[in-house]
Amino acid sequence: MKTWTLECTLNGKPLRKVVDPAARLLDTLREEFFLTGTKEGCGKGECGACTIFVDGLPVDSCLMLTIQAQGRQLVTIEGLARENRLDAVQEMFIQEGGVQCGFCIPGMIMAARALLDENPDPTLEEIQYGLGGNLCRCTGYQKIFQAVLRAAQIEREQLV
Amino acid sequence: MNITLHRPESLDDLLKGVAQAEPPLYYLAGGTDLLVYAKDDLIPPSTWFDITAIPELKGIRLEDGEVVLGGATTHHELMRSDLVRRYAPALVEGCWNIGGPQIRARGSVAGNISNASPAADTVPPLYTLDARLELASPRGRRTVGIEEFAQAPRKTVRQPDEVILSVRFPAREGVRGAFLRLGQRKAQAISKVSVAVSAVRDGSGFSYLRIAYGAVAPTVIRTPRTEAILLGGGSVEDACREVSQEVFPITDLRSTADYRKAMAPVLLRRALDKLN
Repeated sequence: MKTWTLECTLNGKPLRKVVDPAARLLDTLREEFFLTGTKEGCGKGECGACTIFVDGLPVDSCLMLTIQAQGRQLVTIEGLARENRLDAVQEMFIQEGGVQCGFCIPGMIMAARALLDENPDPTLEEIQYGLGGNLCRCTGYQKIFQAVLRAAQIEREQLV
Repeated sequence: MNITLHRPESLDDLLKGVAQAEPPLYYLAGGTDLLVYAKDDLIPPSTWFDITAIPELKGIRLEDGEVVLGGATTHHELMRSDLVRRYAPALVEGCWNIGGPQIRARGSVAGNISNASPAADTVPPLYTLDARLELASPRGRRTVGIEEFAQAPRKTVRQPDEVILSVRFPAREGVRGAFLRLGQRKAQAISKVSVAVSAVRDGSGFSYLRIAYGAVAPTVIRTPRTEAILLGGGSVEDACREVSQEVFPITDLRSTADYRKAMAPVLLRRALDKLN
C-alpha cells in the first residue's frame, strides 16, 4: 500500500505527515491534526462553517481534497489568536454578542478576517458581500456585521 | 471515496497519466461541483486527476490580439485580472455573482463551463465575447467555439479524456459589458434567469453587440434577432419586445417559465442601461 506524505505549513508551522491524500481537507484537519474548530455544516460549500485560509484566501475545506494542500500555507481558526491575544475580529464577536450557538462562528470569523485583510475599511454592503459564503441560523446577522465593523474600526485606529 | 487520485505537475504528465488511466475519469480543479456530486453519492469508483498543480492550465495573458485564460483560472483571479477587467467586463460581473468568496477562491472557469449548467454565470459573458475553448487530450488538441460546446444540461462535446486547456476571446478595445441575474438570494444562489451583454459603441450606435441568456433554454443562448434590432439602431423597447420571443424557459425547481420569460426583457433593459 503506497503512502502519501503531506508537506505544507499549518498555522505558521511546517508540517510533514503521512495522511490519506483523497480524504477531504476538512476531515484531515479535524481527525489527523485534531483541529476541530473547523466545522462541517453542509459538506457542499454552501454554509462556510468549514472555512480556512489556503495561501491567504478563504476556502471551503469540505470541497478540497488533502492532496490539494500540498505545498500550501494553511490557516485554521486555531491559528488566528497570537500568543494568548485574540484577533480583533474574535474579540469583537464576543463584545458585540455576535455568537449564539457558536457553530457558524469559526467560519464566520475566518471570512471576516479575510475580508478585513483585503479591505480594512468596508461598508456594510461590502461586509455582507464578504460574508456571503457563510450562513448563520441563530443571530440574524446584525450583530455579526456590527462586530466586523467594530473590528475594522479598532484595527484602523491601531494603525494611526 | 473509492477513487484513484493523481496530481500531475505538468500538462505532459497529465496527458500521459490520462492515456493510461482506467475510466471513468474526472478532472478536479476547484471541486465546487465535483465534490458536491461526490457528497451526493453521484460519483462512481473512478480515477481523478487534480489539475491545480499544472502551470500550463494557469495564467491570463494577451496573445496575438486575444485574451487567453488558463482553464484552471479561478473566478477570484478573473475578477482581479487587469486584462479581464479591460477586455471582458461582462465576465467580471458574471464571476462577481458566483457563490461566495470561498467558492470564487477555488472554482475554475473550465469547471464552470464543462459542468454545462444553463445557469452557469461565466458562460453567458463568454458567449457575448465569442470565446473559443482549446481542448487537450492524449489524442491531440482541438478548438471548439463556446456556442458549440454545450449540447444540453450536463452534456457537452467534451470527450471524457479531454481537459479544457484554455478559454480565449478577441481583445476588443473599448468593449463594455454587463451581467445581471435574478436569484433567490444575492449570494450562494443559482441564477433563475441571467443576461450578459458585451458591446463596443460607435457614435450613438454599436459596432459590436452580443447578448446571451442563461437559464432560459437547455443551454446558454444568444438572441440574434434582438442583437440585430439594436445593431440596426432600433430602440430598446423594440429589442425588449423581440427578446421575449427568443427565450424558451421551462418551469423547474428554481422558477417558472412565465416568470423567466417576463424577466428576460426586464434584465435586458437594465443591462443596456448599465452600459450607458
